[in-house]
Amino acid sequence: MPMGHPRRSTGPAVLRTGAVAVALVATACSTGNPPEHTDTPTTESAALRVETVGGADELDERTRAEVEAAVSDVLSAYVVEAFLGDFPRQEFVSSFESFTSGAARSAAGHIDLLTAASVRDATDVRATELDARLSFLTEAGDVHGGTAAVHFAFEATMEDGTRRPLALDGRFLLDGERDAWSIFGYDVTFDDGEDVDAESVP
Amino acid sequence: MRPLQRLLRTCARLLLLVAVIAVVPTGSVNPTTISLTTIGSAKAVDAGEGVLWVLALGSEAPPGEDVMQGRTDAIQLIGIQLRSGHAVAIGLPRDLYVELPSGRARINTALQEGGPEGAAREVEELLGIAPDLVLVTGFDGFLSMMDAVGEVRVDSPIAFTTEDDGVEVRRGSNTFDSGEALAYARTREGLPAGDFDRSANHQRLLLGVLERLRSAEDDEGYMEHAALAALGGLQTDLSPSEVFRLVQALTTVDPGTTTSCIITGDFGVEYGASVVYPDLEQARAVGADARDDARLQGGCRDGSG
Repeated sequence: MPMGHPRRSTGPAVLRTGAVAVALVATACSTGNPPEHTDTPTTESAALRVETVGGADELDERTRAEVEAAVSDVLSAYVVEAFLGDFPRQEFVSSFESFTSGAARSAAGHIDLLTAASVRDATDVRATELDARLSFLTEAGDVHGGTAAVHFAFEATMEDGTRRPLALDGRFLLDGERDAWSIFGYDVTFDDGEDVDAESVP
Repeated sequence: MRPLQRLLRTCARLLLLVAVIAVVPTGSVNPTTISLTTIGSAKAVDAGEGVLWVLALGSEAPPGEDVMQGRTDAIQLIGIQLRSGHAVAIGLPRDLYVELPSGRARINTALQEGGPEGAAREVEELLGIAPDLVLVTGFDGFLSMMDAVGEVRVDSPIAFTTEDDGVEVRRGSNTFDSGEALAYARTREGLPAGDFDRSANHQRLLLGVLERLRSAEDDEGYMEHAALAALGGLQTDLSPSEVFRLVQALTTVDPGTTTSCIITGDFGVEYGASVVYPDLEQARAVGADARDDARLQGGCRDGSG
């Protein structure tokens, strides 16, 4: 079955990009339990909160932690490249480094819905909520794939000083093994926060 | 987006609209301007390029026995155009009388005689399409997969009672659990066109599964559960990751753009058994039509119009 291969398997969980210092801290927790640790975020940061909600019953604690960390790295790398970093900017294609080649090609066609390209003229974008709920496909103690159901929210500061909320919700589909994961699909909705005037005649 | 969030967001906007309308004095002729934001959606699954051709075989091997040793009374060649979301199912009735390496026989013995490669070879011989994958399931595998998929809705053009379990199939919409789906899929007696109708019922069931997958794909863990059931219920040399991608790719197929066809032929008797001499002209024309884009733009060419 011909399928694309990962272009890059992992990304950093904690990143600082350009002049805008953005700490994107990945934290993990088990279903129903509070996070084991949460680094104190600055006013400019939001923690990527990762919670495993399914498919981890067969995994030992170490394997589960490895898998959660690896998936967190992939999601973090994507979020930083797609939504954070220096603004204004024009380049967003590098957001898909952690996608498989086929998924990256598709994503390039959806760039306005998968990145902050629609607010490329903003002076700053910060994350306000970064939640991911992970379900894994596990068989005989091995992990083969999974889904990250995400709610990512951002706030863009525009040139005129106004602020626009952005929200990306949906699913990212991943496959891989313990420490080598890539995104092979997505099913998301994106609200770019841009007002559309509509008239109502009573 | 999580369904609850989607619902809440939709409700919030409706409330906003209602509130705006409510505060405008009755009889006002001035239009009221309100602001909404636009939401766009994007979906893609990387499961390869072009058309993926899957030969799906349902084996009649009794529970506990090797499904490869059973006759295949369900034979569907399914094409999925991964970019466009088009899909086609071409049904091959079990009684099609074809040339196997050991001599002429019904096509439903091709798996027993030549394994998945042999079955694929016969299908390619008939339709001119080489399957990329051969997936074989038996009764147990079918039931476990359908349990994972959940209840499916099937539209039936006629009412009938299944041979096994006496399931009353209504004309119109039916909802089947796994056991009822198996009884529906196996029934041949009493259907006006016998095995041709059964093959069409297999296609209706596939469509029901597709619609169910698409409606439940957002449920946390659902697609993983379905993929795991497919791993357990199918005989395939695909890796678990490939099965996962394949199951996910199915959800990109729009049920409204699917087409289907049954290969027909003339009835006959060979060695005392009913057979169907395949309409080779139809089979090759259908195969040629669907091969490159998983669409049947020229129809089924079976005389049905």
